[in-house]
Amino acid sequence: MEWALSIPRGQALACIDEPWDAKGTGPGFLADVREVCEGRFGSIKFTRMYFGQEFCEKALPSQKELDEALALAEQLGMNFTLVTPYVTETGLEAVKVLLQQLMQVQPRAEVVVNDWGVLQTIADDCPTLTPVLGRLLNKLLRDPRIMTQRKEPEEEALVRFRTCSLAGTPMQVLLDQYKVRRIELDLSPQGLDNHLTDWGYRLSLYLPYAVIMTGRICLLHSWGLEEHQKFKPFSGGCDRKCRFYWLKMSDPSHQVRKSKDWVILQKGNTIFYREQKEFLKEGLDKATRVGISRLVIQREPI
Amino acid sequence: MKILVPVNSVHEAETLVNLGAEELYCGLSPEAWRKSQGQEFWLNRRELGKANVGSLEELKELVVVAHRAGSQVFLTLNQPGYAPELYTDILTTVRQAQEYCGVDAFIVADPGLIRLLKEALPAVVIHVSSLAAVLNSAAVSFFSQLGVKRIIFPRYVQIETMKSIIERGGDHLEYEAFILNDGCVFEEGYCHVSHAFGGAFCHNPAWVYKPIKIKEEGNADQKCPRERLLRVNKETFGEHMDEYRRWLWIGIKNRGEMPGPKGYPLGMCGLCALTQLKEIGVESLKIVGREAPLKKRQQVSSLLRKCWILSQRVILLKR
Repeated sequence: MEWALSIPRGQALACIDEPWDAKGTGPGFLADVREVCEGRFGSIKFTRMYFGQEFCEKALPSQKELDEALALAEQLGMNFTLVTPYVTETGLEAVKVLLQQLMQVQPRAEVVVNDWGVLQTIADDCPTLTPVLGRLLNKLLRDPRIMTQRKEPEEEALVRFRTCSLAGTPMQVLLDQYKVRRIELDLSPQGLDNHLTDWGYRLSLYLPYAVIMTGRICLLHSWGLEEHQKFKPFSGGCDRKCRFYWLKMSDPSHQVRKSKDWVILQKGNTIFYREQKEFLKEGLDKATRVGISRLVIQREPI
Repeated sequence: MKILVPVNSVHEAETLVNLGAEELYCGLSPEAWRKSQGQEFWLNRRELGKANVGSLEELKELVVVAHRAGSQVFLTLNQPGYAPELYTDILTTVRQAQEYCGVDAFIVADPGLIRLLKEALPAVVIHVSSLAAVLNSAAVSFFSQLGVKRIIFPRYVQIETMKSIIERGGDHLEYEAFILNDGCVFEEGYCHVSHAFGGAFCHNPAWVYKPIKIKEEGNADQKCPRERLLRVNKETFGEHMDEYRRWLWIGIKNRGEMPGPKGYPLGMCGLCALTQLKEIGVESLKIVGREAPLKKRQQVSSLLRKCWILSQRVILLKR
């Protein structure tokens, strides 16, 4: 198993010294994740750095931060993966600059893409880089209600919810044309497909945050703005309140029921569920059986 | 500019083409699909039953009505992705919809499905759904290479961004934008839930949000976490969430579907941008709301038509 440590931004590079945040108390506290992972695999050594994030073009790293991350990864002997979000035209220009920079330093480095346009850009402008299909372009459902809408979810239905177009020949041929050999997954509520290896890709799994939904209207950015400025996609800079707050979500109407398997959280413009210990344990057992070859550990997803 | 309106029946098609809708879109939920796939596997993003035409025969009749009036009909197959075992049934449905019913184009988000359809039925016309989240010109290029004809912009793309995308994406493609009705809280194409499991996940007003302060290296605000936690620019988190719920009510829930004083529906609106949209090369304006009552769609179509004519008169007067 290859272990990758996700570092979403330059300010978080220091966490490389304490990747599990053993002293923390917030949502970034990963002692439980470490216990499950080490219980299954023994002592863990991170050999790859995932730098960047998937959800917000406002939080793209600067060129200086990318330089620092590349230097740190090299210094520690870690492989390097640049993670990119979905982007508007403005964000695309910024991503292009980062891709060119990366290609000069590490021509064959991996880039996680979460936007068809970024995949096209790599094919057109940076063909030596290695694209990885990010989990936002993997359309497997991650709906926490999938297991609670019925008392006894039917296995036959769950099996079908464990697969998506990535498992089909048309998408496989298309992605092969774009030199995509690896795809990324979340631990979905319905579980992983027993036949994941038949999909024909190398497989990465993110822990412990799975993405439910993301968008360009940011709940936290709007906080403190004038009424007419709130709840809109915005141009210009961001004061990144998401660095300072998580929002823990609960639904007293029980449309989305409480679960022992996860806690639902919003950070910035994205809703996640954070997998809990037993769910993680079962998920990891399954992951090893179905051919997951890389685990990406996130202290925080944005 | 063409007006694109959702329909669910032949009667609705008759009514709406008479109000000037040059383009219609609909879903299909044939009985055979419902029987074989059950209640949770939808052919498109809207639930089986009320938001879909119920049979190929009805779809055929609907297309005849539309074509007689010079309008076109597009069929939605807009799930972000489909399990591959559904592809055979979908391909059969598309073939029937195209050859038997005469549907003019298919609204698709899944690149795998687009590739499959273009290989099996080269003449098939594909419009890239907003669920494909085409937010930049390189994404336009990606889908253009798959042989599509039209790009449907997702919600909330700014006019300047659309302009730039159209300029770079090229005029060999058509472009469509949302103009009226229902919003979405998140980016549709990056929403990994299904409305089949109890409706929309995101805009349930019952959600309770508890802010949790993050301990972070270099966070200068650690000294006063309570103040930082409670207020931003004098606005408390509670006040902010009240505003958020208000926005959900107005923008996403269309004020509970209550009409305004002149009978027009309330909610998301882009009517002030009609002239700009025309100038940048948007050719089709989409009215959202396949599940909305016909009366609402009639009023909205009529409103859009009036505003469009008015905007053209203003341009002429300025000249």
